Amino acid sequence: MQQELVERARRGDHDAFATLAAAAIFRLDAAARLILGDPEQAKDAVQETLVRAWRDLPTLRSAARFDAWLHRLLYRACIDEVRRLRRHRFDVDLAPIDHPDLDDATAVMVDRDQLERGFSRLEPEARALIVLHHYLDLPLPEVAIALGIPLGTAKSRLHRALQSMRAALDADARPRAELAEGRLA
Amino acid sequence: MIARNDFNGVISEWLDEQAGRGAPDYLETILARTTRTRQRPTWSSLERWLPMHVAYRARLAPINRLVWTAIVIGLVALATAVLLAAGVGQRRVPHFGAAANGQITFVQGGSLRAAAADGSNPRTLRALPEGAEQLTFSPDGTRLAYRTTGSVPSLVVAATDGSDPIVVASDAALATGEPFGWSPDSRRLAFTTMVPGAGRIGTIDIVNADGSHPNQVIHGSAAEALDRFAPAWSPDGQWISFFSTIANGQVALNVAHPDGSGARELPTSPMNPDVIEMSWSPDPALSRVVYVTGGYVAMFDLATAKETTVGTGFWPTWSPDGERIAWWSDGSQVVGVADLLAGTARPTALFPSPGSGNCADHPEAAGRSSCGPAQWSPDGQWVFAPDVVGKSILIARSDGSGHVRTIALDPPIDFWKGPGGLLAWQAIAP
Repeated sequence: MQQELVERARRGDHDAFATLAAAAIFRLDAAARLILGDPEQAKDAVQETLVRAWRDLPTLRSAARFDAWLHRLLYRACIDEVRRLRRHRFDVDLAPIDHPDLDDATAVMVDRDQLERGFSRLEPEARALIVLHHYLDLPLPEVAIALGIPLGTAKSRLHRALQSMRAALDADARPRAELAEGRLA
Repeated sequence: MIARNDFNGVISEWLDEQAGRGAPDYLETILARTTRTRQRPTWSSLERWLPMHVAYRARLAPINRLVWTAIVIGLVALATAVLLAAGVGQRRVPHFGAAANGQITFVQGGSLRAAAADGSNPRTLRALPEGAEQLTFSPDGTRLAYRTTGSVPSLVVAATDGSDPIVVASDAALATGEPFGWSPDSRRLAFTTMVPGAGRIGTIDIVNADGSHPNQVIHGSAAEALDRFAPAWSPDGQWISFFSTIANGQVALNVAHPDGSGARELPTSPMNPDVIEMSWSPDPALSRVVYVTGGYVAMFDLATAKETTVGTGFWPTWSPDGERIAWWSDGSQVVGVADLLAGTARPTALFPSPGSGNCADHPEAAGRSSCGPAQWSPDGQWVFAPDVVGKSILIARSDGSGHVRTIALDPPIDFWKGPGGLLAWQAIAP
């Protein structure tokens, strides 16, 4: 069904494209909000994604690749959005995060604020990796295609991104644990 | 507080919570934008273009063998010549003539930037509105026009450094992603708007460069009868050309006087709907156009109705004197018009092909291969184009001699907005 719509949209059928866009906009908007952390920026990125998708659909080589292609467009639009804003404002220069080795099996006690802080400290490219894999549930090979990077690079970057996040969470949690033990008094 | 041994699961769960369930409310806005955005030609993907080499040969040959077609073309040529002669009574605009090279200006990210003609002194002139596209100097080199592509697109005319911008047209119906044209006297602009309530029907509008006297070229019910788009002004100012979609899904090339009179379809070869590229020879003494259709570039002489194939490819541009044509065919090439007409054309290769597939698939060809229209310096000595990944502007001598110069771009030009209209070379009086 989707492939038929893509084929029709490729031939200029705007109604078919509207159906595809309606089906995709929720997940694109949610993913963009997660990557960019700002609803207005996300809206701009999704608009750019879908306008580019419509304009460039005739050049899509395989209708079966539509979703992966759309995710790649979204990723590019999000990164463009970040670059655009960087030119117009001063970004807070975050201190580098230590990356202690953490065993995946280690139990983690986290609250949502900590997760949000840890996630927001990641570079947008790293946030995009996590969102594509853990929110959109794309397998890593699909993520690699969407980001235009080799599979091995996607794997290592995802591992590093998650490590960074867990390290940040750990660093956040440490003072509280120490406070609880009376060591910071 | 979430307590989990599975950190990946924690992340997925948290992302799902953060994403929420509310449906975005801006789908209609997007669809309004896509409605007035034409799709890119299929062949603009290099890989899709390559097989068309064979297709065009097969298509043109039988047409040329038909004697009756020659007779029809001859009759139409006669009619066209009469029509052109009728237009001579109107005031001719002097040709701007040979010009000197001003600054190279380009849209990079959200900024208007410039460099000297030799590539030195790259600098930021000012921030541009989001989505600025189709950067176009006026023929006299004194002003710069561009279009913004937000929810309500605008056509803007500014000084050459981007200062003093004037919005000369602003409407949700303004078509984006396609060319608009300056009149040769640099006083007016022609552009496409979508006819309200008429589906995806475009029509050609004209406005003075100060925003006064907006006017529709084709009026009344005729405006809704045909989808017209991509206007370009003839160098003598007598005609505006534009494309129209016709009943069988194909595209025709048309001309009309700026006041809407004399509208007619030109007897070019049949075109497919991918066609959105056409430009007039700068020489006002010759009514010649080049255009693209189905993977090949053709030159059409309005006076004789003779069509000459330039070669397979796309992105054709005229040299300032109208004596040469640059286009993209397995890399950027240049050919002499006189040689073309004599059947002795030997194109000169300027920037090599990056290979098959999309330009972005060839980062290894950065700084070497072009991906965009090869445009001419105002003095005709140089040709320039963005490289395959938009990380530099390539500048080569138009005769192919010497080394290719580059202007580095960091960050790269945003190709997603289309390779055309992001670079322009200002002409200044010699």
